[in-house]
Amino acid sequence: MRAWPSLSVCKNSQLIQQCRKHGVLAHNLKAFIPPRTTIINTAELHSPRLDPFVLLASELDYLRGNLLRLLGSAHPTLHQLAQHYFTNPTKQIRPLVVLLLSRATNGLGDGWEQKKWIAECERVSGRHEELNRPLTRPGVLNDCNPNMSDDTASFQSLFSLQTLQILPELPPLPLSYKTVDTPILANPPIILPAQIRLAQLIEMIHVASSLHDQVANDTSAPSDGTGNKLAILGGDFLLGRASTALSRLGDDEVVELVATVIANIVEGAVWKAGNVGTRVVSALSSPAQGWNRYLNEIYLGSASLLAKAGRAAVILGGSKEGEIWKEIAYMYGLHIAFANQVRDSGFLHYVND
Amino acid sequence: MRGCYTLCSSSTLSQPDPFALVASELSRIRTDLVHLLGSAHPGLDEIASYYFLRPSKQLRPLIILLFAQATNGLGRDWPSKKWASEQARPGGRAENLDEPLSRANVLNDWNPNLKEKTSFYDPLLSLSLPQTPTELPQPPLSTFDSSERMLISPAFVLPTQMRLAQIVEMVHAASLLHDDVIDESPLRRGSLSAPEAFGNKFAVLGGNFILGRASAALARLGDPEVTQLIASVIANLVEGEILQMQDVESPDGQAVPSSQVAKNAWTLYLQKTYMKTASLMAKGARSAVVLGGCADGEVYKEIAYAYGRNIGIAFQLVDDVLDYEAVEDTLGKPGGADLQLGLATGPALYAWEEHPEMGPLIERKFSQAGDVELARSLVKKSAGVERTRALAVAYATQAREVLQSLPEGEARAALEALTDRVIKRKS
Repeated sequence: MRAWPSLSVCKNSQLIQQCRKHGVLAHNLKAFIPPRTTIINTAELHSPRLDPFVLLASELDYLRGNLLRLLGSAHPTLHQLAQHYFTNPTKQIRPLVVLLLSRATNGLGDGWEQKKWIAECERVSGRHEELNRPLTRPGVLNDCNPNMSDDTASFQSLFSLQTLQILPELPPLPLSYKTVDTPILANPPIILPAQIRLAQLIEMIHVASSLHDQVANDTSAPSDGTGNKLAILGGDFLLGRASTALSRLGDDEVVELVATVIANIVEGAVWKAGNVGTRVVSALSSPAQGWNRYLNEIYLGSASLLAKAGRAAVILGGSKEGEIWKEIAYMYGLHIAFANQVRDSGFLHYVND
Repeated sequence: MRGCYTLCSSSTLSQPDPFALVASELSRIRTDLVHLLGSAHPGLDEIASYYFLRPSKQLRPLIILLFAQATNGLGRDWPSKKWASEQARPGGRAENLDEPLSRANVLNDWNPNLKEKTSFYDPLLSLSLPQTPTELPQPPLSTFDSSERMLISPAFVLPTQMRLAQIVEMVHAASLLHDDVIDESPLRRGSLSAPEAFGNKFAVLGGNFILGRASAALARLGDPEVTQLIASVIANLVEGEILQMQDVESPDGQAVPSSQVAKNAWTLYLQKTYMKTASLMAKGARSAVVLGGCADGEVYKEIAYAYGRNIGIAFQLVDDVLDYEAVEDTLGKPGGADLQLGLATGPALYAWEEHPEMGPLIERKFSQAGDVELARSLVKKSAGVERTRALAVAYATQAREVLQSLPEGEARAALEALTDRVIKRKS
């Protein structure tokens, strides 16, 4: 059993105390209520010591707690993953970027009022958190569509034709919601639940790809069975939940962005490895080509995720085609990832959290 | 009269060959989908297309194409879907299904097979004001008429439904890649498995790559309901794998399993079977019908889901039987694999009811020396195989039953014939 982390690593002392008391990581954590965004006074904006991690501390703790709970609830074997994640937490840079960009742009996009309205309707209708649903949930129907129930009880008999139903639609945006000609930042600043979910699923994709990165390539080595299997299943589990949550965000553009990230990450890993399979990668013909390949690997392996996640966050806040907000977000994510990667110097490795 | 098939009928002359009905579409599916997996890295190209270059049953695309043909025209929104399929817009003509929703220099998912539509990351990229988008064409009012809907004849498959069949094949292939690594299988379809050919890590990454490309293609279909359905299958597949790892309790030790314990073991097995196998078929079929314009409150997508779920479970049950019966050369993979992996499938669970000594073996997942051989002999002594086959027949019959609510036609007959084929197959 590993030692518990010190308080400087995890900011939520209540979380730590609960874990220590029960000796189990995630099972006994109470359900978190989504945090209210910290409001700061504009005078502080000019303070040189504004710490983004402090600004979004409650959101980040909420995200970390959810991920732990999800991993802990899946299966006893995946507990090890939850433990590992708890004792080696990431700095959550990626979710931080998503949340900061959301806060910095919500209100500016043409579709902001519509997005805010939808979030309000969902809150009132008590929509469930698909992302954090435990794996085994006896007797509970699939809360999205009871006609496709997949809980254990539904397998006690052959599946017959289900009764027809019409799923309720969201009420339309009321006419009293004005559209403004000049875009104004939302005040007080808010982050939409959809944006928090995006931050969460981005982190899950990152953790999943780290896990898959650890899979040992050699098939002839004596396998201990558990190591590879855990890494693969854990990564797949996170990818599966992330995919489902992504689809529920209800935006095709966002789905496409994040889907290409998943493909990009693999390409980055494969370029890093050099020759894979029987076909040979062509040799470098010039320093310029070397630079191109190096920069491309950084893009594929780390910048793509941050750039597109930032863009997706702003889209979820209602930024429409033709507006500059999502371009800014993309550029920000792209360049901050490059800066981080190049700063780490060495040669061709991923952002280490 | 069509539709009145009995299992005793040995004559298959009157039964259509389900594969023949959509043969030309099926042959295009694999060649076209490999196009979507192109990458600048030659090795990745190789891994991603590996499983598509070998023969496959293509059962999942078959179900999708047949359901498309069996229901196109019936849904309330069919006219607008038909109209859209001729437009240059997302979810429109075949060539438009590869159009990215975000700009190519944002996505940077370079594909040498789609040079005009994809792009490579350019380090000199700078911020620029994007152009205001052009207005998309809107459907004419005539597409909203409320006249009675009829099955389209001759049978027609929309470009989106073709693309869906490809996406489903991709999701299936990605899961095979991961499964072969987890199960440490040396063979797949008679050749080296991907982990054997490329190593474990790259087989896993290859699967992720395919999943990424499939998800992007899914988004470009432009139907949020379908996106949610297929995305949920991706989660189902791995959750089924995790369920499979769950311990089956044998608390009574050597006693005949109490009805509750036996029931738990069975429902867990069937739930796992649904998650890993039937879910993709059920939700795939449902998605095909949704793409054809079936609206909420219409029965066609429920029929599709129920058919897919029942036939999927039947298919897997037969697979589990064949694992006990068949020899290596017909299966293409080693037989007797389930016991070696510690898995208690239908025949073993039935055998447990007849031979209580099976309980502890199941509980410890046949891990002790001699367990596998003992289990195999117990299954052979029992009626495990016959009873599992009978259960498969029951599920297949149920699949055929739900089809009766569809209007008669060639595609429906093919779907019925398929339920027989699934039961009678030897590999």
